[in-house]
Amino acid sequence: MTVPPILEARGLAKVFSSRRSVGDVIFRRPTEELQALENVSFQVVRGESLGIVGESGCGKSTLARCLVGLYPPTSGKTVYEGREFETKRALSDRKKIQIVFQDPYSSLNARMTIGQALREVLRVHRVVASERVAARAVELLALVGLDSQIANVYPRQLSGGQRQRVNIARALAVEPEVLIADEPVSALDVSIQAIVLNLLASLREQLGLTLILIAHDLSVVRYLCDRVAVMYMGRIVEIAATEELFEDPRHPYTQALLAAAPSLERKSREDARSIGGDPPSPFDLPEGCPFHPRCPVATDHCATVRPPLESGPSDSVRRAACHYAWAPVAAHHKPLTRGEENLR
Amino acid sequence: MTAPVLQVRDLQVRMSSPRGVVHAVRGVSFDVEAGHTHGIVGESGSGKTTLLRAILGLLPGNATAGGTISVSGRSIPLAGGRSKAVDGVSIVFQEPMTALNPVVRVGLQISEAPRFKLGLGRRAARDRALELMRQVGIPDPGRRFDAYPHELSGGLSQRVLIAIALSAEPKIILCDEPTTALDVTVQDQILKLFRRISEETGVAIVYVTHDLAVVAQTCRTVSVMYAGQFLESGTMEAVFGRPRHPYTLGLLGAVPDVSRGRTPLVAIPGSPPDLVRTGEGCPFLPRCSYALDECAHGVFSLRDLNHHQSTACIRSDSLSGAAPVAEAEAS
Repeated sequence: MTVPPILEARGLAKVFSSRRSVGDVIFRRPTEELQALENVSFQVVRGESLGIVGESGCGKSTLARCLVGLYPPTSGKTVYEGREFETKRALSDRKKIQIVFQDPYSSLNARMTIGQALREVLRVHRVVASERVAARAVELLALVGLDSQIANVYPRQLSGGQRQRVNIARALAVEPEVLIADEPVSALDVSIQAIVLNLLASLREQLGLTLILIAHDLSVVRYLCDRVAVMYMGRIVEIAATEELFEDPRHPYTQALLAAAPSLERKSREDARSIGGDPPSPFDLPEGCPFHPRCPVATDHCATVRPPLESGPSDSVRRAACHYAWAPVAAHHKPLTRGEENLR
Repeated sequence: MTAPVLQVRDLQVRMSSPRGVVHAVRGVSFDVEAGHTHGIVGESGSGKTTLLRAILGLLPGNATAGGTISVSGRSIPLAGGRSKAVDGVSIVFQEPMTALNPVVRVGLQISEAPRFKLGLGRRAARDRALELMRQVGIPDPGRRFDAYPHELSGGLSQRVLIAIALSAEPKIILCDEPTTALDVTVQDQILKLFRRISEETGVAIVYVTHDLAVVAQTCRTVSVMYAGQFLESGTMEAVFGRPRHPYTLGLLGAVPDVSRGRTPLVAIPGSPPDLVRTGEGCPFLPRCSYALDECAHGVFSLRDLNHHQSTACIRSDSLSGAAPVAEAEAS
């Protein structure tokens, strides 16, 4: 990519330590540590939309919170237009990256009308002159397809879809360059999801927004994103252009995720390759590749050596963290033998 | 054709609430045969859970019900209040973590029905529980028998719930969004398990969900529920391939699909209806783009189009025949 990235994650890592009780200290029990993110790096160029998918507990939301500055990363940094963004940011820097949360029922203040909530943001960030604040709030509602009357009601009077549009309007109030949407439609009814997805698509075009969309639902990401990063246990295991990733996934986890996603169009999937087992406990990650206990092609090599996220021989854009993503299994590596647990 | 295990005829459920009478189920009829899986798709508030509770015999005390439900030819009492759960019907809930008793070992929870309902001895009930655990694919059942629910992952807890559902040798298993709380790869395992169970044991499954793709994967027949009634019913291929109701057509065009690229999504305007609503006419009318003046009057119940499909829409002939799915397959 020759275009300089607007936003870059450089080796982001986040470790959560469990709270220690007096007893833990007295008996010198070791601190339990959860590595939520490990060495996550990617770049996003202006106007692009990047999807981040993975199962629950893979670190997607932690990543979003590190990027917006809600969590301090343990190491690594968030770089915006070549400048490092600390966790504590100047007001002007905070405006650049905004977030829309998953649950539209808990992310709005129940005691403020929608108009008050929007006007507060406009005033604190001094986005427009004070006499223009009320008018701008109505404009924002119109931008997300809501009526100006909505400004006078409380969140409880709105449906989930309307609330999520208010959340988007509030995030857009400070005119951000990057919008992070953390599972924006997973709490909404099926017939309402399309409204929010289409709104995000059209806002991106209209305002030239850069979008980072976090979802567990592959179909949502396929619909909205130019590129997709797949996460497993706090790491990016594969990142590629959307069509490439869906048509020709290189990492066995991506392949499994795609095979497992229910679809209206594939009729019978008895033959589809599916994986057994559950995701491992994040407190107790396996040695080597974190996916190897569930991986259908894992070898003894995978059980000891953690594969780096590498690009293939022919293209530099797509990367996968699997020893065998680009190369066939070497003869001296033997397939892993497994217990009954993982064969189902 | 065998006699249906479950037969629901003109089921009506009303519940009193501070806002007025909620008419949660409005004249629902359907049959499920042994070994078949019937899907019920609907959005939140469409009455799907109330329908399941009625079949289970566990309507809340403020509910009144009309119509008939029969299980294996015997009709079951519909009265609200503290009725007893119906023999031969069991249920798998959405939240596996909260549906299990947290202070009882899972093995004992599975052996409860064999012991107290089927009258097996302690040893025999334990053996039966271990066998059920093996059947639902719980690895190392001997060790897991003594585990507490918090020691199990979401997928394993859901398998335990399925084992409990199977333990009383039911004719019908009701599933209320059993995979919504699970990860995609685990959901896939559970869906395959349901398919295997219905093939092996011949149990009938009623599968309720909001996820169209999950229904497409698991069910042979499907009903689309909206505002307490069925708007369309039929075989999976017919209903999703050639939908004959604007709501089904709308739903299919409103959800993104992994196998589809960027076919534009078309949202259904308006919002789901209020179940306190009274009055006649088609419940979907305010959101329908095919509506005529006639749609505001009369009762809209299912009528058969052929033996694969029935619809509640009077304009079913004028719906453009091909659904998005069918188009994508043709291209």
